[in-house]
Amino acid sequence: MKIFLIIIIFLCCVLIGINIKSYFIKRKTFYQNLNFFCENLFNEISFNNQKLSIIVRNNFYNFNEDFNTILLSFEDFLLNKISKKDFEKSLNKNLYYLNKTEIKSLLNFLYSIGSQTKEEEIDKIKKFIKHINIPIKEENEKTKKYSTLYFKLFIVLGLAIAIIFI
Amino acid sequence: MLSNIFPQNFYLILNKTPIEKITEIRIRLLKKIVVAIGSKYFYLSEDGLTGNELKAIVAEKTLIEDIVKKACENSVYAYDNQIKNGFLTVCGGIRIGLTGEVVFDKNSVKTLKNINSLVIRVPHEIKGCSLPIMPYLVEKKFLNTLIVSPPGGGKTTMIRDIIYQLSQKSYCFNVLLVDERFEIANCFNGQATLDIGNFCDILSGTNKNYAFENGVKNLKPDIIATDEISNAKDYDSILYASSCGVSILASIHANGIDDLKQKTDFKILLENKVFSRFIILSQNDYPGKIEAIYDENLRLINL
Repeated sequence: MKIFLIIIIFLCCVLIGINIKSYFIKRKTFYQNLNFFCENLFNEISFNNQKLSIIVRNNFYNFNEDFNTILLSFEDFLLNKISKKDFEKSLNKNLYYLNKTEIKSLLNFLYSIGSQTKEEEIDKIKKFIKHINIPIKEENEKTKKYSTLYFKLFIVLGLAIAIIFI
Repeated sequence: MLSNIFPQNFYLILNKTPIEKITEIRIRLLKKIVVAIGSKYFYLSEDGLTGNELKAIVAEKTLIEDIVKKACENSVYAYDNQIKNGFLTVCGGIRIGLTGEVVFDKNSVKTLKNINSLVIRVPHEIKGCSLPIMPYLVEKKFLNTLIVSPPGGGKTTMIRDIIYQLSQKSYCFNVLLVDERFEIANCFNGQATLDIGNFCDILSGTNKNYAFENGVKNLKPDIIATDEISNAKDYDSILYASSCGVSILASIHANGIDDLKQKTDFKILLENKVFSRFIILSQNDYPGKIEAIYDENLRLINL
C-alpha cells in the first residue's frame, strides 16, 4: 500500500512537471505560429490581394492543432457561422495558456484585419509582427530556461518525497 | 442575396418587406433609409415599408461601415480598386454605389474614405426579355449592337439576356464578356453567379482597352460584349475590335438617339457606322421597356 502511494505521488509530480513544461512550449509554439500566420497574411495581401477567409482557409493544417482550431473558428466567424461571442469563447477555451491581455491584443488584431485599404493593412500587419517579436524572444528564452528546469525539479521533488516516505 | 451584405438585425427588418421585389435601397448617413419596389420609393421602418416619415429608420455610421465590410467579405483591401471607382459588386450581382470623401494622390484617386451614402441596386434576371429583339440583331452573323438607356433603364439585364441567348446552342456564338464592374456575370471567386450561357468566356475587373486587345488576340471570340462604354478610350477599343472582324454588343448611358448624337467623342463611332443596331430602352412604364430600334443610318426600324 505504502509503495503504491509513493508511486502515485511520484507520478503526480512528474505530471505536474510535464504540464509546466508543456505550458512553456505551448506559449512558444503559439507565438511562432502566430508570427508565421501573420507573414503569410502579409504576403497574401501584398501580392495576391486574396480575401481574408480564403487566406485563413489556405492556412489550415500549416500549424499545430491549437492554432488550427483558432483558424477554423476565425473562418466560421468571418463567414457568420458563429457569433462574435462564440468566437471569443472558443479562443479563451483553446488558448488557456495566454493571459487576458494577450488574448485581448490578439482579438483586437483579428477584428481589425480586413477593414482598411491594402496599404493600411500591410502597415498594420508589419507593426503587429514587430509587436509579437518581443514575446517570441521572451518565450524562447523562458522555454530554454524554465521548461526543462521545472520538469527536472518536479522529478527530483517526486524522488525526494519517495525517499522520505521510504 | 441581401443577407450577404446586411447585418443580421437589419436583414430581419428587411425581411418584413416584400424582399424579392426590392430593386434599390438607398442608405444615407443620418438620413432615413429609402427602399424602392419597382420605381416606387418607400421609407423603411421597424415594421417594414412605410410612407410615414416619422417612423422611418435613420442610418447610423456603424450600419454603413458594417454593410461595406460585409459586402467586402471582411476584406476591404481586396476591393480597393472597386472602392476607389465608387462601387462594390457583391455576390449575386448586387451593385453598391458609394459616396464619400475622395482621396487623391498625384492626380489619381487613391481611395474613398468616410463613406456616407450607399445606393444598393438589386439585379433581377429576366430570362427571355431580349427574345422580341433577337431577330433584328442576327443576320448570319451578329450585328454590332448598342443598347441605349438612362441609368436604371435595364441595360445590364438586357445585355445579360442577349449574351445568354447568343451563347446557347441555337445561336452558338462564342461570346467574350468584358465585365469591367462585375455586373453582368458577377464572377465570384472566378465563377459566374448569374447565368450567361454555355458559350461565354468572361474577363472581369479589367478595363476595355486591355480586354479588347487581348481578347481578340487570344480568345478568338465571335462577339465581344461589354457594359457602359463612356469615353474615347472605350470607343477606340470598339473600333479596334470591330476592325478585326469581331462583332460588338455594348451599352451606353443616354436618353435616346438625340442624346447619343450630342456625345462629342461618340461621333467617331457614328461616322464609321460601327453599330448596325441601336436598341433604345426606357423607364416609362417599367425598366427595360424597348422603345425603339434604329439601324446604322439611325433610321427607325418598325418593331
